[in-house]
Amino acid sequence: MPSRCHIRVEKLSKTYGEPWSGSVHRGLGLLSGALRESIAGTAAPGRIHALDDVSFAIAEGERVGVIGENGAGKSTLLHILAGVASASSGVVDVRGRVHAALTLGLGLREELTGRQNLLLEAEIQGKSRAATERIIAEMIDFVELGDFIDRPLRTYSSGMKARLAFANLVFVDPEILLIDEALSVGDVAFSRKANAAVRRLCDRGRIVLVVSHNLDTIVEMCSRCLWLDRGRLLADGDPAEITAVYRRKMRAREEEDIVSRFRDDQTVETAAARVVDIGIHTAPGDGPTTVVEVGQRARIRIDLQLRSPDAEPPDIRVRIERLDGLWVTDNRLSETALRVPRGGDVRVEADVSMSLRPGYYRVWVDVIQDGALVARRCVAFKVHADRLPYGGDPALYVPITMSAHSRG
Amino acid sequence: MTTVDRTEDVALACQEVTKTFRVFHGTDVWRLIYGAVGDDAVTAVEQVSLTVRPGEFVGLLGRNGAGKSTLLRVLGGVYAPTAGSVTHVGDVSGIYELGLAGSDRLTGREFAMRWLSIFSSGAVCTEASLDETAEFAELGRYFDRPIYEYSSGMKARLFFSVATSQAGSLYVIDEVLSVGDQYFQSKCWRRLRERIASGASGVLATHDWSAVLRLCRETYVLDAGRIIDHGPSREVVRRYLALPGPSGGKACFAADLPETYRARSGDDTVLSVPVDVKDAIPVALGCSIEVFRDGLGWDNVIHVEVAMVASQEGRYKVDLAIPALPLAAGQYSLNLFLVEGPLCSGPRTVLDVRSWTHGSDLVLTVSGFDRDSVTVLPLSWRVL
Repeated sequence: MPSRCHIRVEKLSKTYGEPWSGSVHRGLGLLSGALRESIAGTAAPGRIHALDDVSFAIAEGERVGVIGENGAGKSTLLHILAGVASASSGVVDVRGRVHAALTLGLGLREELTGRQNLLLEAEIQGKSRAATERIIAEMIDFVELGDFIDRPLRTYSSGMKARLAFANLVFVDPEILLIDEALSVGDVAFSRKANAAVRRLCDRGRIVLVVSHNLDTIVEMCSRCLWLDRGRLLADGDPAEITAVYRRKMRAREEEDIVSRFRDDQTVETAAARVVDIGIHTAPGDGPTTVVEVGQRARIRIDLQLRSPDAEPPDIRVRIERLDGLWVTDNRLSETALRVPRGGDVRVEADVSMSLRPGYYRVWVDVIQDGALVARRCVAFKVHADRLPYGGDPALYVPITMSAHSRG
Repeated sequence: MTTVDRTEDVALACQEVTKTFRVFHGTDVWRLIYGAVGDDAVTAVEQVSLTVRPGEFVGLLGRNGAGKSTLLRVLGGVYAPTAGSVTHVGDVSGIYELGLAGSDRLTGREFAMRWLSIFSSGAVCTEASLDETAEFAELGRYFDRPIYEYSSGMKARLFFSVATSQAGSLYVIDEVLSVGDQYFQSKCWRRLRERIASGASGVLATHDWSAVLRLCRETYVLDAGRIIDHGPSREVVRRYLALPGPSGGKACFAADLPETYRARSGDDTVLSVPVDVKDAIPVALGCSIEVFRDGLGWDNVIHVEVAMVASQEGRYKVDLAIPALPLAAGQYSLNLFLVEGPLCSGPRTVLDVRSWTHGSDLVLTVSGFDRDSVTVLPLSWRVL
């Protein structure tokens, strides 16, 4: 027996031209581009391949998560499956009643009241009057809008509109459900309720396709995972495996990112001293890294050039700053019995457990002589965790032991 | 004389502000033109008075539809109040939820130029300042693309960057601090703190109580258009959260629980907590050490996961052993929670609490070196 629903996509491509900004010249440019393309068979420069030769098939019962960076084509894919956008080439075959939650509030009418909007949506969905009446009270209860439910939508705050749109989404009865992105709605209490409703909805749908940046959600909810990368289908398979590879790749990209984002140079150099280099090392023999795991032991390696052999030996100050301005450590070599020599090329190493909250940090190294700053340099790094040791979002993750003793 | 002093003391204030919107059923334009009064009225904000002192951010807490956005727009001069008055010293930079000013056909750069020419008096809109704005927003080549191509995150980054690009004196901010990735969020916080440090003031509207704790000394709570609570943020949040109190009886902290603990920075530290268990029930303890810094707000520094401590009646001493206490010298808030197990699932019954969320936290006084940081990571040094 053939199944009731399926999605089949073959050699799907979608290209966008230069944005149409209302100018005739641009329009002509677009036309000539299309002409050139049809004549020469090549894409005009400036064209964006949102989807490039993508093929897959989804059978009834599958829960598919779509991952990929911004601009990978995830939303375009969902828009095409929903019928909101058309494919440039390829075959798209979707069988089943589709409900797409792509942009919240797309179908809401400003002049109608909240209640009328809900009724209208139910009617569009093809629900019977009896079925509508059965759920409408439940929907109104769900959105918690009070008196506003009988007021026109234009009197709503954006948060209230989002709630109403959300009710429209969770009370439908789709066969194929397409969900785009984290549907974060409203305040904490409501978003918790909303998330639970999405879960229930996914349990009911015959096919669910969800686009999300939250990889844990994908692993938890989906039986299959599609990874889009710059319009191409890079991987298709088990969510746990694919998200693990994706995470590794994202991390590598992040490393490059950190270096380019922290370009601002705070280096200070005087005749007395220079901080030649700072490196963070997590394994002996390895080169410097910019990403460390929560709690990982790391070595901060500092190469100095000290040039005033006649003065008092300078003090070395190592501080770590969280990007939002919290200083998480401030240590001086002079707290220990150690001293650097007065002159020459010196290497100082400081080992530290990076028991820090995941996020972006900077290590600052100051060389201080007679109370004055004579050299400074900083280097950025990221603290990373796939899974945190525990909740509470503390600044530090310290290994604390608890033990109970009877006092008699 | 006193009146003059008082106005000098205010950066932004409103007195008895009410904002009513007329609702017309149907869309008969002629009725609007003839000045019909409307079929119905919605009062979004009612009799609200609040004061922002120079150099200070005030929090505005409330759920969706409480009237936060309306009030902000009244304060920012976007809406005229139906009744009451708004006073401010200097220009107001508004960061509204969905942006403002202009069409989405403008490019990011055009938007920034327009915004700056409208809202910053005398500010020079130089190439350099535009570049700085573009860089902060991290829009790359999209800065020269029309806004309709932007994702919602990109829009929010643009609006935030533009509105905070000039070291303005007065900000009204609507929810914007919850946009973007972790990196961008911390950049936003940092920029706001820099602005506050250089004397800026403003209002931060949010439904996120932790945000007002981080930024605002004082907080107002708005509910159905009215201010229902006002005071120091910490106390207001405590009442706003209205966490259930301890159920008591079965287990509690013993009478000899000290109000103040003392420790030395960097020492291996044991905090002993006396607990009386009066029933044969599973009892678990959790703990957090938090710090408040002026202008930087609250930080949860150390968090100890709830763990089982007893299952039989008796008097216990629970030792929390913290290796090389990673706190700088100073005063910390010590919070203890005694809950009924088992720990695996479901809501826990709170047996006893000493926490700032209940107005009963303990003090941890740490002595040691004077440092610029809040915490201290133990470093082992080597000179080669």
